[in-house]
Amino acid sequence: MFDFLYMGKHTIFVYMSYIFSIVVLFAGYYFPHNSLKKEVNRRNDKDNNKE
Amino acid sequence: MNISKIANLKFFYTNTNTLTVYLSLFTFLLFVIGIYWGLFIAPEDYLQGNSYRIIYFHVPAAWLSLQTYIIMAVTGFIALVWKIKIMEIASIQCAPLGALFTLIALITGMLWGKPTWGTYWVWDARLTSELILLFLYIGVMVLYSSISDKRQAAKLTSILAIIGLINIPIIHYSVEWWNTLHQGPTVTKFEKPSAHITMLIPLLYMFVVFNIYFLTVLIKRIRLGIYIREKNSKWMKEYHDV
Amino acid sequence: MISLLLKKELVLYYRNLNNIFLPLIFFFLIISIFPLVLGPEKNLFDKIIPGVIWITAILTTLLTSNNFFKDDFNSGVIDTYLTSEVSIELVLFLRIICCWTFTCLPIIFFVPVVSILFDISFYNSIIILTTLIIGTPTLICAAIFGSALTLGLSKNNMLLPVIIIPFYIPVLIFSASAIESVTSGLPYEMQIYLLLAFLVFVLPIMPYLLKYTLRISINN
Repeated sequence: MFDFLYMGKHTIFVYMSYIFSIVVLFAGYYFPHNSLKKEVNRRNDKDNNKE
Repeated sequence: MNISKIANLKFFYTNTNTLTVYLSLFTFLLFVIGIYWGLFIAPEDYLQGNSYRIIYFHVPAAWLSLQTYIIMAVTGFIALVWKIKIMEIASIQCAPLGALFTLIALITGMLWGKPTWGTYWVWDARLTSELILLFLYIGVMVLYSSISDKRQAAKLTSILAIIGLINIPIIHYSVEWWNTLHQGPTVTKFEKPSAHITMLIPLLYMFVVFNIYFLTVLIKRIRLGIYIREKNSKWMKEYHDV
Repeated sequence: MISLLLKKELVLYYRNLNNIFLPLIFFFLIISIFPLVLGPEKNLFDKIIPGVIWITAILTTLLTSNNFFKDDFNSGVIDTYLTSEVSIELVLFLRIICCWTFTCLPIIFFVPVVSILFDISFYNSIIILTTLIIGTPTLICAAIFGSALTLGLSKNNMLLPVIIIPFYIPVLIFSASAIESVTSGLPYEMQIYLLLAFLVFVLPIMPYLLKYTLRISINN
């Protein structure tokens, strides 16, 4: 059924490189995304605690 | 609308909020299309079978790693000469991105080299220059993080980036010359044969997609940099307390 | 004026002879470690000894240039230079030349001794000497640029090598290739000329670049 996913003799290398690249690209996007959210929440929490 | 308003930190920060959401969704979509195209639609190569498909990530990442370094040096130059704050932020935020692209290029290159040519790594011009580029990026990031006054840090890393930009072609050509001494004038096995058009078009498409990804993540990183720099200013507090 | 500046540098180096001896001893020490680690096979050494000499030269220049600006920075002399009418480029140029004279020239004088220790032929050791004489000023210029970048930092001793070694790579490649060409009998003039070209390109612009970097580094 999944015959079309077969990528030839070295199919494991193809999939490893694709998965590695996708994971790294996702990490590169989500790092600033979550950093900003964390900073804003930290500042908001500090403000609320000070008040 | 005056284009120079984009250099205003407040203008940039407040107006790119929804832009990043749409841009990231767009990037994700384009990537899904690109991966499907690269894996399943592009034809099988005569020599390498299906394992040539790695180039759809490897080659754009390598091109973009060099492009990011040039952008980092150019924005650093603009920040030094015209002292535009957003260029300082943009310059230093390019460095982790560029290191990411270089890492992808190196690892996918190793995973491509093993099945195709039997070896993970060889010390030829392109691979060695890519490795040195990774060290240049790491040097910039380490220098920035060890200086406490961040405006001074931005200026010093801009100088380092510009000098490094001059150094990159020198390194590339000297390693290439050194390798041709050892290998002789035969065609090296890393020379790309001319490729069929149905294999080139997904490559160019992935290059464009990587560029759009670069733009998205750079905008997000500039927003992060602006936030950290302007954390205690009045407009930032008003913007986030609404 | 120039003679006064040179005399000041000479006095500084003469007062603390450690500045001259320590790089030399370090050089010999590192070169002596290599046979201990790699085994005393002569064939192996014939191949790697020029590279070993060069790597040691790189380590020496990096470590000695780390503190190039430290004393001046701590005593505030750099501020005085930048705001006075003395041309700091001249001072820096003379300091670079004196630094090379007192840290690298002893090493270069002792390279024949090293070539006797490792049984390198006379002609090869002449070429090793030439590449060192031409290459080490370029290395010192790059290391001093790195020390100007990392001026205010007191803690990070590994920062300077990490930043500067990519800039050493062209000099390293051409020197190593020149020595290798000599040992295999191939022509080597092109590499020497290129090394000279690097030196002639880097040395004159270094004082101006250093002045710009120092001005930023000391928050001026």
